[in-house]
Amino acid sequence: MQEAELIRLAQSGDHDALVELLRSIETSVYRSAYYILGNEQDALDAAQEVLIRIYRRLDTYQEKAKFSTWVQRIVSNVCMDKFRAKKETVSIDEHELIIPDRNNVEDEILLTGLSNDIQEAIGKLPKQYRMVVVLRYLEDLSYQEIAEALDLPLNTVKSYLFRARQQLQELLYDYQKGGIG
Amino acid sequence: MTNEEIWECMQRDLDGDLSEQERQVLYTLMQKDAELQLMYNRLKTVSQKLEQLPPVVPSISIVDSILPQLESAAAKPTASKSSATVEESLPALEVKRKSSSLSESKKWKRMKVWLAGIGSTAVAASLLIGMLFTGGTGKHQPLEPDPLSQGADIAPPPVVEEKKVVYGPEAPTPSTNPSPSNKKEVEKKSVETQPKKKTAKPPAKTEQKQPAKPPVQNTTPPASKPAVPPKPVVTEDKPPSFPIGLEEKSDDKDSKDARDKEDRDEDEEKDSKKDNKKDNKKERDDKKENDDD
Repeated sequence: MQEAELIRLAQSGDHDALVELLRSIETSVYRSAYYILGNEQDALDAAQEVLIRIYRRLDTYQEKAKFSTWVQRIVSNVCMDKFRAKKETVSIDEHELIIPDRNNVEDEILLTGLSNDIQEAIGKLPKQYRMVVVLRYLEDLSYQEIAEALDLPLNTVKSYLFRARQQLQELLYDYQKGGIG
Repeated sequence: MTNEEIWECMQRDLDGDLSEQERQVLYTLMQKDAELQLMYNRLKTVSQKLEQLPPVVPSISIVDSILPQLESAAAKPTASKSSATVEESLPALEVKRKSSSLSESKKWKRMKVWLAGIGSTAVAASLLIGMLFTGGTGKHQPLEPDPLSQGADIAPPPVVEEKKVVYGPEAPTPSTNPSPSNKKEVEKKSVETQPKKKTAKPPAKTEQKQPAKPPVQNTTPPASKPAVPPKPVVTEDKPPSFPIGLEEKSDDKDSKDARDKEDRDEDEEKDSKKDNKKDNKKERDDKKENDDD
């Protein structure tokens, strides 16, 4: 069944269609949350909250925007709430990403050394940069869709993305230099 | 083209946002400048790494984990509504309880008022009766030698009753006595005469009743002592004298003594009248027997 049909049925009160719709977006929601928040437990909590919000507010969704964009907007809001809840006093540039729980997901990532470096580098990006990068590369959203999801101007999205890549390049270059040294 | 513009073109090229002309211009610039080419390669590497990020998957099904919560949330509205209705009904019950308690308190207050009223009336009645009896004992005991009492304070009541019993039946037989005037006339006289005494003599409570009697008799007896008529006057003077006596409570003791004297005179007259009546009855009976014979 297509996404649009599922959405229509779910909005009309079909509980099974709503559950199926949630299952279809479950992985993408968790993935975005995982790369934005940086650890599995926070990602699970955030994904649960996102799905619950979608379950309760699906009737407010309008087909003006893509459903994936609407979902990612909720993901970004929930992640921002998580950041605020943590009350981070250290800036994201100075914060070192810590992933205590090394479960299967993280083991898969560790298999590729480069991906581990880039993941640590992403964790060092500012929150706004991080979200733009995640939406651009993991959710494959366009500039405009990212702007809609994050409620930011288009030029701001471009600026964040370009600066994020620049910082990541510098960080990875430093890692290479450190590894060499 | 400035370095910033070249840098922006590099970024846009990574996202596939450059036109063909813009891309050719960028590539020609990078071929001339090695540093620009190095920068572009680093950015492209980062972009490739980002594109190659592993697609993480949740270890558990998040939807399955929240399904019970979702279903309970779907069921909550009805429960919340029912609880709301219960909460709404509670105030009504409280109000009813309050009203019932209030009504009970009101009832208690009313009962108290009623009881107080009844008690006060009973006390007043007992006081009045006691005053009547005490007032009557001093007069009638000595005058009537054979009352049922034995000199106690309770003796007066029978005396009063005797009066009623004695004079009641005799009322219908005025035909034998020529003089008795109508009761109404007598009452009028007593009423007319008593007010005069009210203003002049406000005696004590016990002497209230009988002071009212004398006026009627005082007006008539002096002139009609030898006559018989005073009988009905005594019986009929009591009712009007009761309220009058109440109004005379605040008078002096001198007036009381005077009235006592007058009362005694009246009692003596009554006794004499009674004797006369008895004699008359005997004579009538004798006459009747003779007639029957």
